[in-house]
Amino acid sequence: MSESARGEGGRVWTYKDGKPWYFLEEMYPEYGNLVPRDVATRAIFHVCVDLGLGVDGKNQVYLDVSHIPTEELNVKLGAILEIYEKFVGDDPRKIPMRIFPAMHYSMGGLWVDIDQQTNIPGLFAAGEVEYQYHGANRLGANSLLSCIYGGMVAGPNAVKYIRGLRRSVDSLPDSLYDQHRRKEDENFERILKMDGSENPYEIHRELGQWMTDNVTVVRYNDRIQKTEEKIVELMERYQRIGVSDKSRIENQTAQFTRHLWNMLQMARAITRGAYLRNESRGTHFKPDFPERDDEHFLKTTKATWTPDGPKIEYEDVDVSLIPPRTRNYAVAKEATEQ
Amino acid sequence: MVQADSHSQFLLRRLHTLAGVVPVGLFLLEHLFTNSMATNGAAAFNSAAATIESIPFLHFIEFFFIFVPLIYHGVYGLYVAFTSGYNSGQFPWWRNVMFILQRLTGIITFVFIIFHLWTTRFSGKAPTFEMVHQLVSNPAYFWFMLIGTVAATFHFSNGIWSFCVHWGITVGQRAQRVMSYVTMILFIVLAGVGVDALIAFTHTAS
Amino acid sequence: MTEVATQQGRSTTEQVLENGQQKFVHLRIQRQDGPDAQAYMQEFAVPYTPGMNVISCLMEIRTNPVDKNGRPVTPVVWEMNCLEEVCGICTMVINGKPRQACTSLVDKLEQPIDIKPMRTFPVIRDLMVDRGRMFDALKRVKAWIPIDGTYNLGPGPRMPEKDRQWAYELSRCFTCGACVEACPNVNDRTSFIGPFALSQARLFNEHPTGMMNRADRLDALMGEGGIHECGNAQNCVEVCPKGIPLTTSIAAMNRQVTYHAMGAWLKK
Repeated sequence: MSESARGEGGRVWTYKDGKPWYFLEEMYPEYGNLVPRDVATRAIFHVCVDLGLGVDGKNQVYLDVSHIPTEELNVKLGAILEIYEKFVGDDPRKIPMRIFPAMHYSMGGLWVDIDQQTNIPGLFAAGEVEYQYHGANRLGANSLLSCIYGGMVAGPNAVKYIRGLRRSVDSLPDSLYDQHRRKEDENFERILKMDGSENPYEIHRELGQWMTDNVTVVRYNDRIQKTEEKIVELMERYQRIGVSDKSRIENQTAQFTRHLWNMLQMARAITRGAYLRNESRGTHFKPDFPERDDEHFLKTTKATWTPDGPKIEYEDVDVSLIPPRTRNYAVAKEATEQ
Repeated sequence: MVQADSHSQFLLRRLHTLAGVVPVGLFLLEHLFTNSMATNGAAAFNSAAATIESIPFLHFIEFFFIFVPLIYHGVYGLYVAFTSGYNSGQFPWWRNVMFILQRLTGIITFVFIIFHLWTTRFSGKAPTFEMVHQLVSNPAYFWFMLIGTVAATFHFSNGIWSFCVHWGITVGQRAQRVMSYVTMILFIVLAGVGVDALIAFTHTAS
Repeated sequence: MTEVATQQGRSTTEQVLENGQQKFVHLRIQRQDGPDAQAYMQEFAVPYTPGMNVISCLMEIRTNPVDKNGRPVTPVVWEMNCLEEVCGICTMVINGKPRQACTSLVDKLEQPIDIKPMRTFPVIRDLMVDRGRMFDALKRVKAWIPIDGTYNLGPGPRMPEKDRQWAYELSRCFTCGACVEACPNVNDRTSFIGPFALSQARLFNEHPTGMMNRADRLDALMGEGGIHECGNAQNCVEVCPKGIPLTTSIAAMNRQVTYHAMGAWLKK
């Protein structure tokens, strides 16, 4: 279910003492159901996990749009409500939907400079693949903003970059390309020959489970540390994968195995970054460090690949135009401005 | 690229649907009407036939307004039926079944018309009640005519439905649904008229 | 843009027991090792979990690639992406009907679940097909609005809300291929571009800016494999997962094409 259901007036509630409890409206009277998604997520988590008040005792709460006229729903949310109905069988126009926060998005991305160029010269990135927009939280419609703005900047800059080159593709020796091609070919051949006992999809499932349990909504350093150890263990097990499919036509297992290595690397960078950031900011929430720590962490985390695991650095955030203020959704915006 | 596209297939198809309804379809209606005169007795039919015989330039009209469109509609129709796929086993929905029936009745009608013309129009005999009576007295011929009549009237009625879609007359789902009721009622009426006339021909002229 | 999961289909490890026995989902899958290889059937039994769909069954198979009798097999090849019926790539023929594997819930399917690729398209391997012809068709009918240029063209004309609402329905087409698969007139003997392309031409002809290229699209629809190849079997509208009024679109385009053709002829 999309967040737009809340945006169009959906109300989140669960039962408390036998009566509907609109906990977002109660906890955040100024913003109610329109609080940012990280705040809503933590509230739902708190209600289900800490208070044990999930609907039917499960980790789920109601997202209710049934008070909105059906015609309006069909015009504004028709497509997503139809999908819910297909999957669940209840009509959300009449019966509140049962929901729980889920992973949808990774806020980080490739580092780019002001011209949208990555640290690989000539490689430009635009849209949600790069890191610039979301910071500690993803705001609605920023995805569109990033692809429109990033594309507008990256396109002309790519042309400018090409014009400024003294040497281009044709003037480089063929051996250079052959050499890299051979390296990739060899890598793929190696994957095809893997005949250990591990299943790549099983490793992937375990990775997903560990990351979801420990590096998402609520983060504790000891668990994060254990997760990184687990990732290292999975990387060892990766070497013992058996690729059951030896075909050279659309071999998805081999392809997945190739991607899985990158996923493990990526997961490790996320985990390490989360471990080192001892504060709470946006979606990054550590109960042991519940406050935002601008002095130490008003920074962007940068992870660089090294053979010994990710190297973490920080880059200052430009706050020259908008000074940071307390993020408090329990009171009106004016109250947080000094 | 787009400009280079030939529109000939499109035109041939549109002419095919048009030919089926305007000259051929109108002729079918006229033919059924004349035949139904037989229900009023041999004299009524013979007089109606004689009236048609007396139309000036009859051969010219027959050739250009009936035979040419009919042959075109029939031959091109066979090609259409050949290029169509048939998958009502997998998708047994009403319109898909009608789609297949339309092609099937088209082929039946094609064969029927050739034989029908052979035994009547091109038999060298005068088109009288007595001639038809002789033919339909043979039970095999009678049943052949019956099947042919039903197939032809179905093909015509359902063809009107397709025509209305092909020419963009019935656009919405409701319009198309209403039209399918209308055309099916038309089919029942026309098939009834045709069969009724056929039965009338089986009675002796007296 | 799923940000909140529905409760169903979340658990992957929870086992379901029936009379103390693990319950299984039975599948019969048509396999094909390559584009020119022979097709063959293979049967599978995967452990049942509540809320399962066909995708999760296929995922079970790749995690434990053995057939019904426990013999090792190569994992079934198929494509998936969004898992919420908006990308169209997991379309396959499930129990005889073309539909998306992601919204094919096991609880609502008769077993053994019969799964085949959409044979109207070239099969690459197993359930994976090449839907390239659909994208070629969209290019043929210019299913886009050309606004790129060297200067800002301004905001363009507005569209009445009433029209936007029905045009939105057409815009929900995700090129899944179900209509092409079900259409009897898309076959080896014709070059019919398929129902979806006619509907997309209508969508862009309706758009106030897209309207400026209306004649190009209508010319394309009158070209080879165009709108005249439609035989009104209307299977398309029955199988469309988004309930797009494809047959209305086709009739509406028939009308536009009729006027266009007559107008062009009379003006010459």
